[in-house]
Amino acid sequence: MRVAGLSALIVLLFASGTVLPHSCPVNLTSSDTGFGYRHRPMPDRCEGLYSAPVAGESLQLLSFLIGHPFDPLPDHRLLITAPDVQALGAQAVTVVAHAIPHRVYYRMDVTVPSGGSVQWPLGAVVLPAGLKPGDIGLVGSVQAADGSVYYVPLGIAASESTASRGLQPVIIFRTLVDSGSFLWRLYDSTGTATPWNKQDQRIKAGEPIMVTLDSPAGKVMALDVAARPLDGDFIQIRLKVFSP
Amino acid sequence: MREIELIGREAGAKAVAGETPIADVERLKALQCVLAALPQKHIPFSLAVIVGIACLLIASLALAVEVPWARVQLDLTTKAITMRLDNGLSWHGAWRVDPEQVRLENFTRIVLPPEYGPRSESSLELNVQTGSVRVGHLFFDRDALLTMITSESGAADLVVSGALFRGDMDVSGEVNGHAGPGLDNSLPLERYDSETPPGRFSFMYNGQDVRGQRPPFIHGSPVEVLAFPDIKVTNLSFVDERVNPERPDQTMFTSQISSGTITMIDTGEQIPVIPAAALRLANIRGRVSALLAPNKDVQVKFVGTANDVTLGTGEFSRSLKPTILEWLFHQQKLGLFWGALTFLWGMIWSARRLISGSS
Repeated sequence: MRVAGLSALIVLLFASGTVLPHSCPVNLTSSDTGFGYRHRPMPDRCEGLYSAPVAGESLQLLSFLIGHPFDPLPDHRLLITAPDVQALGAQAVTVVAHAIPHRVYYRMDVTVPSGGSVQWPLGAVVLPAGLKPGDIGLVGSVQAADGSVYYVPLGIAASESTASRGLQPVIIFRTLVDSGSFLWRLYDSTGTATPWNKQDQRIKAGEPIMVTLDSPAGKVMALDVAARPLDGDFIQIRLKVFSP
Repeated sequence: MREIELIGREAGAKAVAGETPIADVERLKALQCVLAALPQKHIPFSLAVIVGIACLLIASLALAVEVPWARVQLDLTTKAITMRLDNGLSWHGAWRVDPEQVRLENFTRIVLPPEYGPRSESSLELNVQTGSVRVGHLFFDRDALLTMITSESGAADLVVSGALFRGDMDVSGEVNGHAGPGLDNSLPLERYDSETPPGRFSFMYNGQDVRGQRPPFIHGSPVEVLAFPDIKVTNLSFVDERVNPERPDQTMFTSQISSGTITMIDTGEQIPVIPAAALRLANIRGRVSALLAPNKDVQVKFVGTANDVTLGTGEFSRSLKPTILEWLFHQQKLGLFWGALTFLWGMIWSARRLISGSS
């Protein structure tokens, strides 16, 4: 009897493991509200608000999308579509969503299979937390075996039938300091550099900076982005971009 | 016993009152006979000896045996520190180094700015005039063995092995340099003026160490502080490998500690560390903050646990871990006090019973 009871306890413990909360890819201090950053089902993802800023680069990539998030009434569900990235040796795309307005601490992490899609229920966190879908940026990336990270444009639409085709991907950045100029160049990573494109207007810290990318299909391109803070040296990032 | 006392008192009262308590006396005698016939509850002397020896043994062990894990805090200045990272470490910032003296060697790939065309190298030496060199991003993957070494000249090396290591270096000004495994290919002169973004050199090591091949490293003289505020580590040492000038075929591992203090957190004991003190830590887990300032040694703070903390070498080595009794004394003061008090009380009480034979 005692052995049976012990076995039952062990089985119960193992079984209870299946309902333990899933871990999230980043350790964030979840917001006190009911919309705090945590694992959520259907689809499996980590989503929510967090209460502490996370240290990062002074120049940040916020969004890389074909299309624009909106509220698809009445079901409040958007379809996030990942491109086919098997050419990069990957089976899935890691998607991270951020709030584009500065100091709004929202994040979602979800994995989308290569060439597949997931439903993003805006009614779970985004809308009840008072966020506008248009203020959310999504970034898709793939990590190759050698550690290189490739950024891929994600599609966003209400359904498969309304998927935006033929549109150019739009990439959004922000700087965390006031800047006097913003520069970018897109070039074949196996070729020579093209001249810098330059925006000479003053950019406030946190202000989104949009760039429409005319990236050739099926090639890995290098995207250099730089900003010059009003009182400092250039800050820059280099991204590898792949448009299937 | 109580009844004997009761009857005794009653008999006494009767005697005082002028009565003759014959019946009470008879009853007292009978009770005393019964009491004498009962088996005595004395603790055997041998058991007392065994318990006493066991207590002494436990006390001696607590006095002699060290705790398995000790909490330790290090505040050290050292010319070299090597640490095994428990987590991936990503650093963003701007670490300026002397633009006239920068080398990156033995990387899997160093991608040069596109102005050089599609070009990647394994080693690179830069000599930049009227400009600057800034390391902007460093990433060390989990299990990387990271070594920071400073030299008398003020130069510093960051050496990495065992895991993925990548980063970016931004260069502005007139850039001259050499590239290639032997640094024997001259780079064409490139100019990055103040109106354009600096040239970005991206370096990457895939973490696959090749036996006999030197690990990748960055060599430069810091102009600004490089600070890693919170590194989770599983290994820590402060020795560097130096060739013995008397015997060039031999290498010596010598402590590079310049000064500092070791604090045993469990006991509060502080031990000053003299230059070149041989400090050995084994099976450590904890957090390190390391600060590399221009023309200074690396300043290190560590807080964590270790199952061996030894200072000195050979017969002069000394373990700094507290014994169990020391640990109890410092960590469980109240428990130890009441435990000792109860133990002493029990000993005295038992000794009294043994000596007097009374119950």
